[in-house]
Amino acid sequence: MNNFLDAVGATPLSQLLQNVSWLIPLIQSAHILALSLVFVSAAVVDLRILGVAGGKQTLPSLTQRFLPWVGWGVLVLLVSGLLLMVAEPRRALLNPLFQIKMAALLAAAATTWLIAARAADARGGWADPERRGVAKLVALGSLLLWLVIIALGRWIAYGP
Amino acid sequence: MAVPALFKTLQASPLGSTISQSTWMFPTIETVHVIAVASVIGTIAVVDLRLIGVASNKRPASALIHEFLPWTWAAFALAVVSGGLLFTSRAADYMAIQPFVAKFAIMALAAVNMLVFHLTTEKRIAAWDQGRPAIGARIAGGLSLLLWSAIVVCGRQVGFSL
Repeated sequence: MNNFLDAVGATPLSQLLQNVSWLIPLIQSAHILALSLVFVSAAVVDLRILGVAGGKQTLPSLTQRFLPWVGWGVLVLLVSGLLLMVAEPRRALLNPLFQIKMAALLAAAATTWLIAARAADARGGWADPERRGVAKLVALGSLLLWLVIIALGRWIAYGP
Repeated sequence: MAVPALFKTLQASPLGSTISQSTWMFPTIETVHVIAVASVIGTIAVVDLRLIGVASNKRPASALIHEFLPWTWAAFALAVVSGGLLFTSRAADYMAIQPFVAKFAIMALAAVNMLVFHLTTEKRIAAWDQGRPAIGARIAGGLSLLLWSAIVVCGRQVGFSL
């Protein structure tokens, strides 16, 4: 593992990212902007299911409008996150907080996919989510997972 | 640039030194700040993307503004409180670095942009509420996206400047 990380750190791309001082802060800024869109888009749908906001609109109309932003936003997060890992291979991959963050990301992706699928299902779907205990549980889980992901992302910088 | 004594006093205050000497307080408050900032930027972006005609085009712009801006202001209040606590821990140090000062200068520009929109283009919102945004709305939305992105860039740069 250490040999692999050293090899990644020695690649021309990693060297470029390490040597041009403004590149890492700029990629991190893009990462923060993308996570802002992802977090708020997911939260709009979650808060609608929980009955906290957006009650005037149907759930399918909100999932169709907002969840594509979660998908494309996560793609930007993966690309920018991968560049940050290439720049500093030892910072993330060996850090248990990063590993938990990736597990939480997988779980958040699963909740998002489930919400999108159930909202789009006209028969027995979640078109009327206030009456569905399961829907509320998934929405609450989604919201908490995104908060945990953001928190872990910040704590990686202070990690062991 | 000379830093006024006030900021040195703030940094040396019991609150400031408690935060700077604790191992967990700064990262914890910083995490709250990131979540608050993400909520501010994300909710503003929803409105801005409607103002430039990119997203939510079937929803009246006025409805989006009424639905999202209260969340923006609540998140902004949380960002101010958490940011204020972070600032207190190293007030004099922050005041001496350019990205920190630039961040607030750009935030002032974003405030002016918002005020101009509320006082001019939004007054005539009925004319474009359902359809293609007025030119003034598109300029305000584009400027807002640009300025808030610059604020994030400056904010992240602050962490590399101390």
